[in-house]
Amino acid sequence: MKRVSFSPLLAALTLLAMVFGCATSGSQPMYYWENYSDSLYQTKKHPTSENLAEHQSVLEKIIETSKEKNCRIPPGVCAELGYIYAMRNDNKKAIELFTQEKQIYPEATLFMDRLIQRSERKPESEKAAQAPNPPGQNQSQGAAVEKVGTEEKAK
Amino acid sequence: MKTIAKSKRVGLMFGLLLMLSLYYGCAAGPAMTTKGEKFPLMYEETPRSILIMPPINESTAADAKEYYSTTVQEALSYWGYYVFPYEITADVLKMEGIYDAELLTNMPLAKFREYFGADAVLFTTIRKWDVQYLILASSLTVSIDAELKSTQSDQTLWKYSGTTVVDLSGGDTGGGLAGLIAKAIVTAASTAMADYVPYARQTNYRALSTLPVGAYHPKHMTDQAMQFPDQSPPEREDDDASATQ
Repeated sequence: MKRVSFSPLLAALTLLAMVFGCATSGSQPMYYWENYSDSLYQTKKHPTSENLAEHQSVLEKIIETSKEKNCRIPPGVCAELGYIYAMRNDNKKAIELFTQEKQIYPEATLFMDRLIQRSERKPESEKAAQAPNPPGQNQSQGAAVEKVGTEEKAK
Repeated sequence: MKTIAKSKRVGLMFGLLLMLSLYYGCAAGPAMTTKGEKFPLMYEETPRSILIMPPINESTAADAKEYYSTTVQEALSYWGYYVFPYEITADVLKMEGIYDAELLTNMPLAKFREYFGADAVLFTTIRKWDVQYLILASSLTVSIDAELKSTQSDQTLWKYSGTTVVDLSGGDTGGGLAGLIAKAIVTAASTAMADYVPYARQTNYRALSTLPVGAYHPKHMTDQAMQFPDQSPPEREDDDASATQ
């Protein structure tokens, strides 16, 4: 294999041109991802509670900045934050965020409804409890999902 | 006044040309093709949402899979697709026993449409993720294959393979043999896993440059004519050359 020297400048320019050049119609970037990839990478490398909290705050910041700049929240961000809340059994907050994801991206509806349904089944609160979902006893609750979703939205 | 305006315009043209030549740096090398010509199914099926599969790791680095997977979702979003949240979908797939996308070779992709509502599924393979240690020049290689498949037709909608080779030896440290040894030590120390991730990202962005853009991108359905160098499978060497300089 050929070994060729690498020019960081060229790489930076190409990257910039690709990310911002073709992705935008005006001067505004398409999305504000903040340092999402970096903080996610840190949680993989050292899954300490500090790093996990840091990643959560990055997700919150992405949502905040996107709203401030009147920009669409990037795909998956609301859902991922909702998932963090769902893991702590903070189901109300989780459902709120899953609902937000499908409002921004209708493509996500089917999957978000599944996640909402799952959060619905779990006992509310007891945030420290990491009890897994009791499987197979929740068939009848699907109809309630939409209602809860709208209530969350109304707040 | 006119001359100033004119020279300004010339300057602008020059700048534009420079940008273009940077963008299509390797235009003189391999034959060119267009997005529309190469990936017509993308414009027929017009997938809106993409599910990222756990990467298939063929490299010798065991950690590569987990680290590489943190670089895909963000990159792909800029191409205007709804990208399912990988941190959640990877968990769901794992619970379903799908931690390795290798296991999916015989599975109809319609399953992913039914469960997630995904229009297309992105398979990635990490071919190389390693460092060659040589005394004079060490190099880091990240090599990724990507393939987007339809959950409607199971057909391949888009594919690409890209390699980034980085010369790690840096500038001359001088100092004869002692300098060389020092340099080798520096190189070894500086090639921790962390160093791969930026190059993996760079490889992603270059690979994605040939992907027709999705519904959330302002150029949706208007980028058929965009040119890029045609990639015939055996010509890995060309990849490397365009990756670097």
